[in-house]
Amino acid sequence: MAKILLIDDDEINNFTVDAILKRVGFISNYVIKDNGWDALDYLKAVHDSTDFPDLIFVDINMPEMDGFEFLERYEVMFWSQHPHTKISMLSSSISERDRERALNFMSVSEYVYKPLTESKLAGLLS
Amino acid sequence: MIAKIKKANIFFGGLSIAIGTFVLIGWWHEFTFMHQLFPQLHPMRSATALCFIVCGLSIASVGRKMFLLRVLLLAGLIAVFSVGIIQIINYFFYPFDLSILSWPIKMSLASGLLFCILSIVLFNNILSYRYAYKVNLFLILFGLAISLLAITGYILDYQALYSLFPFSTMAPHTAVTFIILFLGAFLALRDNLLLELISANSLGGQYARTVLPVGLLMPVLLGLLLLAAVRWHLFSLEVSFILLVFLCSLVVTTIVYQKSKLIHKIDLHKQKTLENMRLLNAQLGKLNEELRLHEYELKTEKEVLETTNETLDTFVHAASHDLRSPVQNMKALHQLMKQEEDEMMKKKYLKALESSTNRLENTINGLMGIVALQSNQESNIEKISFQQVLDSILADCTLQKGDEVIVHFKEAPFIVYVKPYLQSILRNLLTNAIKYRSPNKNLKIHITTKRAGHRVKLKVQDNGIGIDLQQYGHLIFQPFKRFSEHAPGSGIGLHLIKGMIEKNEGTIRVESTLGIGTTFYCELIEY
Repeated sequence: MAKILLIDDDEINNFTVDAILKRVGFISNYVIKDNGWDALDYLKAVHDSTDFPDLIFVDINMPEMDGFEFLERYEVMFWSQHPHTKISMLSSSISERDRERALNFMSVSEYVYKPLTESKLAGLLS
Repeated sequence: MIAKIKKANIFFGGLSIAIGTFVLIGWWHEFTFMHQLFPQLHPMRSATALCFIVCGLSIASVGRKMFLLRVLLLAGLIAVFSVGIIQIINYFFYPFDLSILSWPIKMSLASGLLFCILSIVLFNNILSYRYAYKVNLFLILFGLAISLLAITGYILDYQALYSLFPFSTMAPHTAVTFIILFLGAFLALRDNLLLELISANSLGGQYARTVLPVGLLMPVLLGLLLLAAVRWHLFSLEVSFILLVFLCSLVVTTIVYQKSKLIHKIDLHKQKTLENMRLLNAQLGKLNEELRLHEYELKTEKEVLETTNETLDTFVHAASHDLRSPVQNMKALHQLMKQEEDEMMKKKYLKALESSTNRLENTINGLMGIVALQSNQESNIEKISFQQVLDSILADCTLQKGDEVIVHFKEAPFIVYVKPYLQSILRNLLTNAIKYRSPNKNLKIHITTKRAGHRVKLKVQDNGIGIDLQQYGHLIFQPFKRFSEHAPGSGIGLHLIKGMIEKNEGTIRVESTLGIGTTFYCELIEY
């Protein structure tokens, strides 16, 4: 049973992902944050490492703190303690530059194009 | 050229060695003609012949680095110098009785003096005393003069010249050999500036090559010619002397005049060239200045272009993102809806679908605005009523109960402007005010217009959440920048209306206080 954290400022996207996650059975719990600061605060507040998310989805285009900045901070603060947590960049950008930049981060394992579907989610968790 | 001339020293040195050997053989085998040439002339002494061989060797071997050879030559030269100085001392003070028969080192006083001079010169030269160059040159010329005088005496048969008081007699082949040796020493001299000047491929070198021989030979030849004339009783000695003086001064004057004319011409040419160069230099400086100016302009243009390019890049990037994401959301929602049975959930999906559609429409409107901005809008210029435009915009806006839009259009109710631009400007400013409203008070928007000639000042003031201008001030009119999580938007509006206002030199600026509100000041220029 996987735990998931989704970070995206797009309400409608969050709404659809929320709907998809509700429908699939293999998710034990999931949290949606609409910006990077809140997400970092949430991760800091996790004390029991079994509660730490197994999979984190991060959007690239967000105001105030974009996905890349979140990754930089995440790698410094959490990555060494939680090496098994997978991070997937979630983006509707078709730019190859963004993809390359994302995959250059040590912590990023996947680059997923929106929209997120049940089959994509199943593939990521398998 | 100079190197070739310098190599001639080997020839001169070799020649003097040959003569010395020739005379020595004469003494050895008692062949009188070999050391005396003619019975009535003075013979060359064997000591003289030996000294010639030593001097010839040191001239021919100049520049060779063999240590032993150099040491031997130096010793030989010291011996030559000693022999020479003994002759001088003997002549003036008679301390030794050097009779010819008992003392083979006996030679004439002139020979002794010349050997002293020659040995000093060669000694200096072998030890590379560079500072001695001038002394050496003087000594060489002095020695050459004495030997030439002796030769001239033989030719003219004046005994006074070759056994000049206080010098004693000198053999003719001794004089010739001295000339050969001094010439060789001159060529072998280190750092010979005179030789370099004569062989130089310059104006000075050319001058020296033409004037020096004339100056040296002309008086000599003239003198000899006139002397011969006196001998043959063509005219008296006085007349020939006067003629010599006049002819010499005539020739010298002619040469100096010719050469002065040449130098004058060259100097004029040089001055003209210098003047031309100065002019060219000034022109060059001017051109350089212009070039620098052009370079600066180009650089500025390049910077502008780069900024434009960058903006365009960001724009395309962001636009593709903003177009794609609502469509993808719609696709996902559609998929969910198809599988959903529950009517309540379906309604929720429909609502989300609607807001996605709205967002897409907003983005497309923004893009349309950009296209409009790029295209020519001259045909859309008309007299527009602010109130009318505002009414049409407010019809689309969602205001809550208690919200107020207070207008002050009395001072400037109309403006001659591009209608789509004015609509866009007002719509963007109003929707911004609504988007970033303060969640816990009623929204109040003040819109004021004022006229100053062809300029209309438009002020839109709200009481929303405000913008942190210290942090975001420089980004506020950039495309696709958003500063708050609390409202949706593409972030293109302000960038767009700034472009519209600035298209005919208008201005827009913003003032804001966090928690109090934001005010936009626009200065619209009438078309």
